[in-house]
Amino acid sequence: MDINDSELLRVELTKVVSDYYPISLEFSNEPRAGNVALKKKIEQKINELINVGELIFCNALELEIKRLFSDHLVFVENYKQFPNYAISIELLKREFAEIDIVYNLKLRVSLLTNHFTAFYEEISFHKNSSNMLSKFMPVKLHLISSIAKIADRDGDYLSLLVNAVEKCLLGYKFVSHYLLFNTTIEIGTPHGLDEFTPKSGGYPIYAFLFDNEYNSMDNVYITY
Amino acid sequence: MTKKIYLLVILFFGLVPGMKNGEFFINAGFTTSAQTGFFDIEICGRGTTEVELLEDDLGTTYRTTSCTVTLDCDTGEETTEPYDCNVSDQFVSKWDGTGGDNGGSGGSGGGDAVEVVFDQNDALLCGYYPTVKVGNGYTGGNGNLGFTMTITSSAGTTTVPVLIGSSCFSVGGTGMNPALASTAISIAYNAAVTEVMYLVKYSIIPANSVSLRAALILAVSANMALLPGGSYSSGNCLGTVPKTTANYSCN
Repeated sequence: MDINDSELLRVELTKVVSDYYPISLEFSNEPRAGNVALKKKIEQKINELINVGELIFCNALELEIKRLFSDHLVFVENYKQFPNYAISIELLKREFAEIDIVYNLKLRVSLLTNHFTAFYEEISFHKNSSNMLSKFMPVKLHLISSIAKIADRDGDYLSLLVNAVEKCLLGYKFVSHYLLFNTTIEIGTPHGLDEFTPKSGGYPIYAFLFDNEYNSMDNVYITY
Repeated sequence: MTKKIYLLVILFFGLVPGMKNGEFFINAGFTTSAQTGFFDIEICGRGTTEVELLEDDLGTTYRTTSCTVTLDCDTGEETTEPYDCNVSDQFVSKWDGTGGDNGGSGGSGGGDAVEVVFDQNDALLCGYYPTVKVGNGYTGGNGNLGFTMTITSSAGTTTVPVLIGSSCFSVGGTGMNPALASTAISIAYNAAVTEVMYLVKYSIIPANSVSLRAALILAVSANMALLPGGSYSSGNCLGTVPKTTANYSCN
C-alpha cells in the first residue's frame, strides 16, 4: 500500500468514525443517530449469541480458523460489548520465574465498516513488579506487531488468517494495525469507555471501530 | 481490644506455573488470577479461603490468607491439607473515622499521606451478580455502583462521592461459570476501591469526584483485564443481559 492509499484509507475510516461518534465536537455519544445504530448492532450480536449460541455471520470463519490453528488454543470472543467479531489464537506461552509471556494472534472484524485487522500481540506479565499500591498486581504490558518470530518462525500465521477471513467474509478488506493504532482522533470517546473523563490526546481509530480493549493505551506498544 | 470478622468465602483456582498437575494455589485476591488465570489451563473445582478483618484501636487490617493445596482433578476434593500458607495484610485503614491510622498520616514516616476513610458497609460489594452466557463468555450488569470517601487532612475533613452508577462486565475463558464471574466482579471492584483510597492517601490523584470516578473505572478495568476475556465498562450492558443493583448490605 503506498502513501496515497494509506491516506485515503485514513480518510475513509475517519469518515466511518464520524458516522457513529461525535468527533471534533464535544458532545455526548448518546443523542446521536449513529450511536443508536452502533448500539443496535451490538444488541443484535449479543442477543443472537444468547439465543442461538453462535453468530451465523461468522460461523464458517470460526470453523475454518479452528481447523487452520488446530494445534493452538482458539478463543472466540464475540461476547464483547463492542460492534466487532473477535478471535484470539494463543500461539505460545512461556513462563519464567520473573515473567510470563504470551503470544497471541488476534483478529478483529469491525461491524461498522467492511474492514478487519489482524496482528500479533505479545503480553508480558512482570511478576516482580506491582502496578498497584494497595496489593500486588503484576505489571501487564502489550506489544503489538505484524511480526512474531518466536511464535511464528515461518511468518505464515498472519497471512493464513487474513486469507481465511477474505475467503469467508466476502467484501471485507484487511487494514494494517499500524495504520489503525497510529491514526488518532483527538476528540470523541469509543463505545464502552468513559465519556466523562476522555483520554488526553484522544484514542486511535482502532478503539472506535475494532475494539476498545486497550482502553488506556498506557501499557501498549505498537510496532510495525 | 481485637475482634475478628470473617468476611468472604471464595475463590479462583488455577494451575500455577511450576506446580504439578492437580496442585493449586488458593488466594482471595487477584494476584493468583493474574499469574495463572489469563489463560486458565485447568480448573478442577472450587474451594474456600478466608479474608479477615482485624479491628483494634489502631485501625483495620484487611488480611488475606492464601495457601497451597492439592486437588483431585476429577472430584475437585482436597487431597492434602492446605500448606505453605501466607498471611498478608492488604491495607490498613480505619472504617469509621475513630482511632488512628496505621498508614502513617502526620507521623514521622508518613510523608504527605492524608487520612482516607470509607465505610466498608457502604463501599465494598458483596452478594451475587447474575450473568448470562453470551457465546463463550459470561456477561452481567450492575447498577448503583459507588461510595463516599472521607478525607481528613490538615485542611480539615471533606467527603467526596465517587459514583459510577451502571456498569457492564464480561469474563470468558476455559472453566468460567456464573459463580466465578460474579466473584470476579466483586473482587475486581473491591480491590479498585481500596486502590483509589491509596491513590488519594498518597496524593497521587486529585481528590475530586471526576478524578476518583475515572481512577475507579480504570482500576476495575485493569483488574478485570487480568482475567481470561475479562472486560469492564461504565454504562449499561446491551442485549438481554441481567442487571443487578449493587449490594453492600451483606458486608
